[in-house]
Amino acid sequence: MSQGADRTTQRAQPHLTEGELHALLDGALDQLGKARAVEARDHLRECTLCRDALSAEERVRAQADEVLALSAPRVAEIPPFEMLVARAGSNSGAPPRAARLSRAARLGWAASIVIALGAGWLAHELGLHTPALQEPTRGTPLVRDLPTEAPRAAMAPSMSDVEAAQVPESGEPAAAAQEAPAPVAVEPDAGREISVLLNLPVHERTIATTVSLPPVSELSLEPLLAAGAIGEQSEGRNEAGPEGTPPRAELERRGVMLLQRALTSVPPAPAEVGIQESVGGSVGVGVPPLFTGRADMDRDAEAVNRIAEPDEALDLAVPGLEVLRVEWLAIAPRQPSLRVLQRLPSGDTLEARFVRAPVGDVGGDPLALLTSVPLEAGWSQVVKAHGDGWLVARAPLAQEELEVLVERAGAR
Amino acid sequence: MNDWGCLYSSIFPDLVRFLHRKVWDEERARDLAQEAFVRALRERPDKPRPFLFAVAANLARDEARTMIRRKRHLALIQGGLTVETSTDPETELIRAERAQRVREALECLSERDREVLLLWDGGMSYAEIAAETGLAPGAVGTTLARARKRLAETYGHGARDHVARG
Repeated sequence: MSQGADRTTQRAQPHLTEGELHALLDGALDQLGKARAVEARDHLRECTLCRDALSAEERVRAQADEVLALSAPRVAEIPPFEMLVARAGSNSGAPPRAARLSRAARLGWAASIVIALGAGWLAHELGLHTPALQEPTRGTPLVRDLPTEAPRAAMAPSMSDVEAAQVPESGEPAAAAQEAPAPVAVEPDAGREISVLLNLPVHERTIATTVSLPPVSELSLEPLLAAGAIGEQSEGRNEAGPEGTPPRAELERRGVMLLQRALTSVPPAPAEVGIQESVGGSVGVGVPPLFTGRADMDRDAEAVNRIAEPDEALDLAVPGLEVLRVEWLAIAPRQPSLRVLQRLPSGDTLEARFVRAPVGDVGGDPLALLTSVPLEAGWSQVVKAHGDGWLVARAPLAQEELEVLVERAGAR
Repeated sequence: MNDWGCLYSSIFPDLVRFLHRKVWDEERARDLAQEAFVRALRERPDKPRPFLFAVAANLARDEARTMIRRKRHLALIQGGLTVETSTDPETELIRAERAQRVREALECLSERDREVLLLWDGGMSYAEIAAETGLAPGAVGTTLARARKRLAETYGHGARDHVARG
């Protein structure tokens, strides 16, 4: 800037820099030091170049302010202060719209996944790995309904079965829930600490966590072993397994998903988990996509039976289809489901519901209740394991078409 | 109304304005501003204003990480929500276009320059801006001078381009 250069050489006393001129205009010159502020003001009285420069910078400042004013938000009513005080006083506090999982929920998630990985390791160490998986067959019961007496290899369903498990055409719910299998009788390895990095897509950050494994006797591993879902951990995640078995990454994915389900009744104590957050890249441990909605939704009565934000349903929505409505609906006491309606190219509606496994005695299994609703004529239904719950989709489409569509749900 | 109540009344609009120019969603900016105040009420910091703006900046940064996802679903949001608009569609359109050009002009600034400019516009003092950004107090004015000049120039060019395109 030639004018500035001229100014700096005209007088022995230094001219004001652009920064000082702006500080003067902003009433902040004194913050740069009393002595310099006095000197600058004295200089300005005598130096026409600096006064001209001040006028020029004043115009720039005014122009910038005008530009910023063009993007100012509308004047809106300030929310009552008392409301914020109430929020601050409650532990939950209404979170912002794109709410994060609560810390406890995050800890629970991290812990359950870590435990899943640890349990897989333990199972391998203890020689409990059952590698064989069968090809999927239609009508295989959901994994929660696995019989406990049949030989493991014979009754093992694949994850594909779980993901595409069909409800009988009669509209009856999947086979009635049976007693949970007895915990595996092995010596617990409680207190063993394992460390793992997890990439939680919903947070878009990596969580480094250390967890003390709970006693193995507290884990219901039987259905997982039966499903052949527990595989050994290894650095290589995509190599093919033994002939006829899926790649290890797939086994891990299934294991994590099923263990989460198995652990529903034994939530890890957050106090056991030390957690440290840092921004980082994916470490790809095969964690299934977390649901973008709030994990603590089922404990937030106000959140039930309300219209939801479209971005709460990103993991349910089929890309490319118009979202007509997103809402939380209680289908059993304290058991909300997220319902997403999308318009199909034909003009018909695709309905997708997300439910979580019941926690404790809450008056009904939401999945069973949901799938017990009779299908309308010409409609198909797909039930699919999804994140930490289940996706139930219905549409007036052929079964195969609906399955293809549902496969795309949540794709980014 | 106690001190915090007065503080809330005086700072909330500044905080919303600051956040709005980061998330470009008025409703969201208000949500995040409320969230920042809730955290401040829990923490009761000695210096509320810097604390609030620091929290707000972090919330906005977190928000930016989900920006791509949100953009992908912009069509859904536009289709699924009722957005509060002016009764005059033409006025609303002009307003939206201006805001978009301001946004583009702000995005032409370096991250540091933009942050300093928005913090100043949000009511932070030079000392508070220096503490928040790590700049020397003497460098705040220089940064502001550069940011203002660039903003005015870029917006001016954008406006001329807009007129030329018709």
